[in-house]
Amino acid sequence: MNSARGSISAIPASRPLRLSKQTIGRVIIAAIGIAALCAPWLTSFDPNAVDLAVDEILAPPGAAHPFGTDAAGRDLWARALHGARVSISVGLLSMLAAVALGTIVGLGAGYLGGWIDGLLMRVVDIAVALPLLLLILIAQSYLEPSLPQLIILIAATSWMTVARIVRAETKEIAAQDFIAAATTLGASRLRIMRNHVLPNLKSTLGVAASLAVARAILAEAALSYLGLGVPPPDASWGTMLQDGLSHLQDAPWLVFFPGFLISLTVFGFHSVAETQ
Amino acid sequence: MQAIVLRRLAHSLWVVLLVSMGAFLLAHLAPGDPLATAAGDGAAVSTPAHRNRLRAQYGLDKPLWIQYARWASRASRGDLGRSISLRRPVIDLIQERLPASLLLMGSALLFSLMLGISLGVGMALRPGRWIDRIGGWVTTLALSAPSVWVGLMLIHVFAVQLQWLPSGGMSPAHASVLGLASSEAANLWSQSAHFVLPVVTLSLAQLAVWARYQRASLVDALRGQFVRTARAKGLRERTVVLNHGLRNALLPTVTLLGTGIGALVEGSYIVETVFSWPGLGRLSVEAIQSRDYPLVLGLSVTIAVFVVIGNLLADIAYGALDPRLRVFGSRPQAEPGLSETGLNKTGYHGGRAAR
Repeated sequence: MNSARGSISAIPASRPLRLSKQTIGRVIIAAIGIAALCAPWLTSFDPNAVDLAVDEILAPPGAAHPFGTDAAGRDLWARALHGARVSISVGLLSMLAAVALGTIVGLGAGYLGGWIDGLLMRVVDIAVALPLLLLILIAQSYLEPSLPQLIILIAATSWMTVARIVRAETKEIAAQDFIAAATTLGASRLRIMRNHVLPNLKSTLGVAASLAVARAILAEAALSYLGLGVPPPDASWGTMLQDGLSHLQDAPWLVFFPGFLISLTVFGFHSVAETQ
Repeated sequence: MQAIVLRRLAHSLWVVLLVSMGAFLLAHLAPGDPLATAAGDGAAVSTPAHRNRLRAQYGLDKPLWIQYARWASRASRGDLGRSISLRRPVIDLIQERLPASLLLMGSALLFSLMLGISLGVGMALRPGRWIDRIGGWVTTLALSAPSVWVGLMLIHVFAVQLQWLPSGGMSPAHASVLGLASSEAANLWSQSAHFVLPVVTLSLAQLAVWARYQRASLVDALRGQFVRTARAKGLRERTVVLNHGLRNALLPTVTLLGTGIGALVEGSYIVETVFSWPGLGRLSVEAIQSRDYPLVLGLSVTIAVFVVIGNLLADIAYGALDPRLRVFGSRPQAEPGLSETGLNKTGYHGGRAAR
């Protein structure tokens, strides 16, 4: 058996090429990520350049403009590419913030237990029940709509999920023998959490992070619809969708393309998160 | 059982209390002089003496916790203040819009449960086969599409292009059923037609969640020893699946009703706005856009109370359905293979997705 290892004959000849959902998810994310990074080389149009020539306004998708143009004659392909940068940044940054906070709270609550657990989980309960509405309203009245505000808002409403997952997982890990061994050897609680529990949370956190990005990109679309998105003239997929609203009848592609890209990207992150 | 219900009830009251405190505090953090609104629009509060008199009159000179206590005591008697933008008592507005929201969310909950559970069962009966695979893809897709987009595309296709269904609003007949207008007989189709697109849009993501959980829990249940025993006894496959498998596998789904209700409430902000549905979700969005603090505060607390009640009912239903809970008085430590983490790892619990 060992001799066959690594040789071509070890691979079954008729192995069908089956793409797993995770692979497809990775490919989608990679493709959109590369497109976003290379945006300036993939289009010659300026995403914010207004062109009010008659045939440049609300032009349907065609050779010159693959995604068509909007009411200000801006090229939607260019806006979609540059918008990808904004939407994905929002997704990644709010995910980082939510995962960091959620991990700290979940790890502390799950490992330390007792009154700390009770207190932290009540905080999570309240944060879950606390109306998103008020948070939005407060944020809106203190700050001008901006990218950082959007990211903070999304992170502030999504860390609780991570905290709950991490807490449950931490409790399972903490009940295992190697933790008891570390405790017996006199390791401090901080050290155990950092060096023994945290590394074992890696796969859980990977899944949680992937879901958090998906959720954040959807939240960006929803908040943009409610008028709390990235300020104009910069494009994000959410604001593009919002911009297209008034032209749903005469130019449905204005809504179709950004929504499709959001769905595709979120689908990618959801697929990667599926552990099977 | 009774003790559990009481404990859950106490917990719910506690959450409502804390949420109302949090909401009150947040509303007070917001900039803007409450006196300007209290004194009425355009009424200039000029002299310091006049200001102080008004402050005393409205209790604004008292510490925040006294202000909260006063607000809470009024709120518990149904007085949530007056809306600034609509110039009417907040409680009246909520009473007016609540039935429409309950109707929409109730229908969406039923629709998503029925279809989602059926799909989940179908997937679980043939794991790895085509229905399972297609179901897996479809549910992921359903969870990935932003509901604004789904709603708009449905409107474009079914209302604008095909003109099969109205793009939104409530039919007069519905409004009359809810006591919103004078009663008038209308045919059933035009009544339900207004329903279809908003309910489908609101249900879509939740449907996928139910299907996934139902699949996971039924696949798990069917691997159980008791199912092997049932099969060994020679019971019909139908009986094994429905009476032995599904009966056990429905329990975890019931526990998720609470989060499902939360997700539907959040979805309703968008869906009601897209389809001009006269419910609390749209009212909330309007309140935010006009920065109507009393209305936002009242709505937030009302919505939180309903979500908490929904969670409580789901918990009690779970208790009533699970004999272990009735007998031993505590929830089983872990559903086989469906521990909290097991479920969360595969990902989709309602959460507060702002769809």
